[in-house]
Amino acid sequence: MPVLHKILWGLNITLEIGVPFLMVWKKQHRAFPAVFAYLVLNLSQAAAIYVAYRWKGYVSWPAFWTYWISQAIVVVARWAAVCELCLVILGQFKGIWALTWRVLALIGGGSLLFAVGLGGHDFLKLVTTFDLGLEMSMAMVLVVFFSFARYYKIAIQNPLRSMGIAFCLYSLFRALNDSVLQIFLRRYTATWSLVDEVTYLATLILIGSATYVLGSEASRKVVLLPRAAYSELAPQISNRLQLLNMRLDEILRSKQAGKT
Amino acid sequence: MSLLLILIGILVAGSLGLLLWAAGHGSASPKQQGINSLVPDLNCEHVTNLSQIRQALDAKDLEYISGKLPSSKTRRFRKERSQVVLKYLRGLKEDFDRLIDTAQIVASLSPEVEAKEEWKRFKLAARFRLNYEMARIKFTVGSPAFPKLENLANILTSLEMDLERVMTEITLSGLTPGESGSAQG
Repeated sequence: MPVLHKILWGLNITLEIGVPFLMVWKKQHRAFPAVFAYLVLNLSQAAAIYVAYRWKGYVSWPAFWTYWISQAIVVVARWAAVCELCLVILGQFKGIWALTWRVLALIGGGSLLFAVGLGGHDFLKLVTTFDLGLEMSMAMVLVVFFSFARYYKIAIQNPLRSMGIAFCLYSLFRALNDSVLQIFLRRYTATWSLVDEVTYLATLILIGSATYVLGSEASRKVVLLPRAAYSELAPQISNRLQLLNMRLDEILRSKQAGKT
Repeated sequence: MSLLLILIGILVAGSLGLLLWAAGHGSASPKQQGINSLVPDLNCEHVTNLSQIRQALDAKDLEYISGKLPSSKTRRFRKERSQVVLKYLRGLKEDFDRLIDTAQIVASLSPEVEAKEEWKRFKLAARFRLNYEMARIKFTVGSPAFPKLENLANILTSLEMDLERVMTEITLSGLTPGESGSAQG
């Protein structure tokens, strides 16, 4: 294993052990059980892969299978962590959460099908394609989630935003990395592994710092408006907007507009 | 290079841009101070200047000036009038944005929202922004027909009044949320 790989491996392992400990110390593991489970599973994956590499060699079928089976478990755990994060941020806003999760489920499923549909059909490619699909769907869900939050002016606490960005960036880079791997396969394996380690290191740093800051910030409770406020306002606003658009259309069509 | 790599590359680049736009703003929204703070935001500051703007753009003034001043000065006068209208139009857009922001916050703090209604508002607001940009470009060329702008201002004023009324009703019923904001588990 090259020196750079060894350094990155060491740094990753240190953070993979350190961040879950930090979560327990800050008592965040109860607030974010899925994120905590993901970090622990990721650490277990590292241990399993290390054992496989040590016994069967870096380039071997048992190592290949150990990696990809454990990866499937870890990706599902990351999916759960992403869902948990979305729920924690938006869950208290009952009305828009009910709308958001349906849209996110559609986008997540659509992205997964899109990526799997585009991928190759031979045995080796199918594994990476499925991984790529899952990463792509996770990234899309987070991007749309942040767009929803911005659209509805939801103030997201900075540590939670960092966590979301970390997961999103990791998924995006992994998707890109997977698609390059699909083309070059074994010739790219070493570089793929290096890129993966660097992006995961950055993700762990972001999650770790978010966990550290999060404990010191007080949680806020959302008090919702009465049902009548929305049912009375929303149609009125839409009607007024329609009128505004009609007037603007008239102005745009008017021969007088733009003339003295 | 394969189609997959190109598509994924475009998708990743687009997503990064969208992520930067959506998650990049760290400032606190008005929601952090509670819904009470939204009520002063409902004031349409620019719509209230309508009478002064109308007076400033009186057609008789232009006729009078055209007769008294040389054409170069009249052109300058017209240009300045056009700038006044553009500024006013920009002001109307600010009022519109403020009202839409309030509507979004009301939706986010509601226990139930209608997907259909949200989609409709999204489309209408997008269309308004597009129309506004087109109108702005059109008015940049010369001065606009003022009565049409007056119609826009009236719609904004009545929307402001509706929102204010609902907010007052909520406050009077004692159901106004004391504090709101993002949640952390």
